[in-house]
Amino acid sequence: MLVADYYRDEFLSFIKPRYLYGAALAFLVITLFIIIAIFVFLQIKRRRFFRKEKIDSLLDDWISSAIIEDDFQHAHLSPDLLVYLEKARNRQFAIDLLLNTRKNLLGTAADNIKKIYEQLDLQLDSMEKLRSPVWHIKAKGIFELYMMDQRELMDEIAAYTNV
Amino acid sequence: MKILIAEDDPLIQKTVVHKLQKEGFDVVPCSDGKEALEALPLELPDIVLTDMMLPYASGLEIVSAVKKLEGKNIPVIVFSTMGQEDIVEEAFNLGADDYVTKPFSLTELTIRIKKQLRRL
Repeated sequence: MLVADYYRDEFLSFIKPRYLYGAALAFLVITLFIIIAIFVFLQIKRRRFFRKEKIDSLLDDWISSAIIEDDFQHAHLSPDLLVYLEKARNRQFAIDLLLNTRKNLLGTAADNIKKIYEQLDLQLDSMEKLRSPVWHIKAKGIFELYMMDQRELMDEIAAYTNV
Repeated sequence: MKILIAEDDPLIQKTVVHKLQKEGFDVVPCSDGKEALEALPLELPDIVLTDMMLPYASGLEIVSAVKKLEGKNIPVIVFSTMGQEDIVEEAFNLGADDYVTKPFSLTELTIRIKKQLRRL
C-alpha cells in the first residue's frame, strides 16, 4: 500500500502546469520533426521516381530506335544514360528490358538487341552472376547468357549441365 | 495511313511504333485496352494492331469494338503468344483479320500490315 502511495504521489507531482506545458512543447517539436522528416523523405522519393521514369523513357526510346536499324553498328549513348548505366541496379534493369524484348522479337531486331547487350558490356554482369556461389544467381546468369546467345561461354555453362 | 497499336509493353510498343513510322505510317500508340477503346472512334485508324492481354480491356474487346464501328471495315491484326490458340480463335470469330505470334519479326509484321491495307 505504501509503495502504491509513493508512486501515486510521484506521478501526481509531475501533473503540474509547468511540467505539462513542457511535455506538450516537446510533443509538438517531436511531431513537427516527424512530419518534416516524412515530407523530405517523400520529396526525395518523388524526385527519384520521376528521374527514374525520365531515364527509363530515354532508355526505351534509345533501345527501340537502335533495334530497328537495319545496319546497327555502334551504340551512341547520351551522357545521361552513360551515368545511369554505371549503377549495377540500372544495368540489371537494362538487361531485363533487353531480355524481355528479345523474347518477343525475331530477325534483325533480335540480332540488334544482342549487339546492344554486348556493346554496353552487359555480358560482364551476366558472367559475374554465372560465377556467383549462390545457385539462383548462377541460374539467372546462365539464362541471361543463353538468351543473349553468348556462345563463347558455352564451355563454362556446360560444366553445370548433366550432359 | 493511320495505324492504332494497343500494346502494354512500353519497349515493344515503342519499337513497333518506330518501325512503322520509319515505314511512313501515322501511328497512334495506346498502352492499355481502355485507352485504345477511347482512341478508336476519335482516331478512326485504317488498321488496328492489338495485343490479346491488355490492362483494363482485353484484345478481344478491342476486336469486337472495331468490328462494331458502323460503315467502317477496319482490319485488325492481333498479337498472340504460344499457347493462346483458343483466344486467337475467339478473336477470329469476332472478326480479327490476321494474327502474329510472339516472338515476331518486325519485317513480317510490316508485310502483314501492308497485305491487309492492300485489301482495302
